[in-house]
Amino acid sequence: MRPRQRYLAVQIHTSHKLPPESNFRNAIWQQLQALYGELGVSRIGFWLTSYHPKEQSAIIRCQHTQVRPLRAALATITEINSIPLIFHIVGISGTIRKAVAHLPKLNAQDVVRPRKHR
Amino acid sequence: MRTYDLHVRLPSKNTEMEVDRLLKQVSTLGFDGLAIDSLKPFSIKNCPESLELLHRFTFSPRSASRLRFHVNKHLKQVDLLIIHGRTKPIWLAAAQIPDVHMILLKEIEDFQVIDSQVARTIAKHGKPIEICLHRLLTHTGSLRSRLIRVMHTALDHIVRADCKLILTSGATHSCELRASKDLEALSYLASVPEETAKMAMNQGPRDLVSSLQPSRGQKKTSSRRES
Repeated sequence: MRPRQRYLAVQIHTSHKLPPESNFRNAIWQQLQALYGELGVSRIGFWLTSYHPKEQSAIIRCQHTQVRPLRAALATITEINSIPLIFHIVGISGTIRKAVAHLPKLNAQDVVRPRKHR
Repeated sequence: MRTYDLHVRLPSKNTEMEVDRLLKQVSTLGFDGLAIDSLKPFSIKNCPESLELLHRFTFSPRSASRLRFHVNKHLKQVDLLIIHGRTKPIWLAAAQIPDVHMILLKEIEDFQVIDSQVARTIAKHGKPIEICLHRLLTHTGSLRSRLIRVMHTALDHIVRADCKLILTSGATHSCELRASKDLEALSYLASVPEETAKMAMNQGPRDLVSSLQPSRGQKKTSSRRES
């Protein structure tokens, strides 16, 4: 059976320029590992679905039962590469399309890939 | 439904720009009110009209004797008076003073003091316990793991005793502020059950602020907001 997922629509509040995607992803990985260890991270099923530094927003995927631990870990991050920032989760949904709707600065076309017609 | 962060400190660089940034961030994160911790009266320019400001003071007594005298002295100046005790006799004495609005738990040493007797006494007098989550953001490594461990034990006693809980950020900088639902989630690290965390973030602060309303009208609130 396909595992159920949740997509977290995250607005990043900062007055500085955001770091590149790899640094952003690694910072979240490191925080998750520091808090829950490798076993815990594997249960959470963290995945950075999309990251938009210009729009200061991101969509993060996790297992549907693990939203609270992921949210707690994101709340403990106060800076990445010495850039002070706040992770503000503006919405949670079961599909990427609905998650994008929570982020007004983002277009659905930037995130959602068009369906292939067979 | 109004949401409050009842513990914010003015930034250490107490410049107008920093304070403006902090207040703007509070509004952006969806709070309707906040309590600023300060002994002296403060004045804030450019405060958003929709934001309700409260003046709180955290008092750290050295002993339980003359606690009532000090409480009465400070209570005249502020909207909210919070006791940060650190020793068992002070917690027990503070719980019995009706004018004390909350009891603050913030540091590792505070959580270590809490046992079932202290929790039961606080619950018996209906005093809310403020859990400041600031140290979860500032501590790292072994210090944070120790904090999480002692928080877990203390909150186990507190939840079992059915104490009223209030979650606060204790932010000293705009980047340490968190939205109400994120603060709720942060309490997961301290093993607070989800329903209790929701109550502690929404119902708890609302009840406390509404209980203040009659007495707040008599105090000078205009000095804090300069238009």
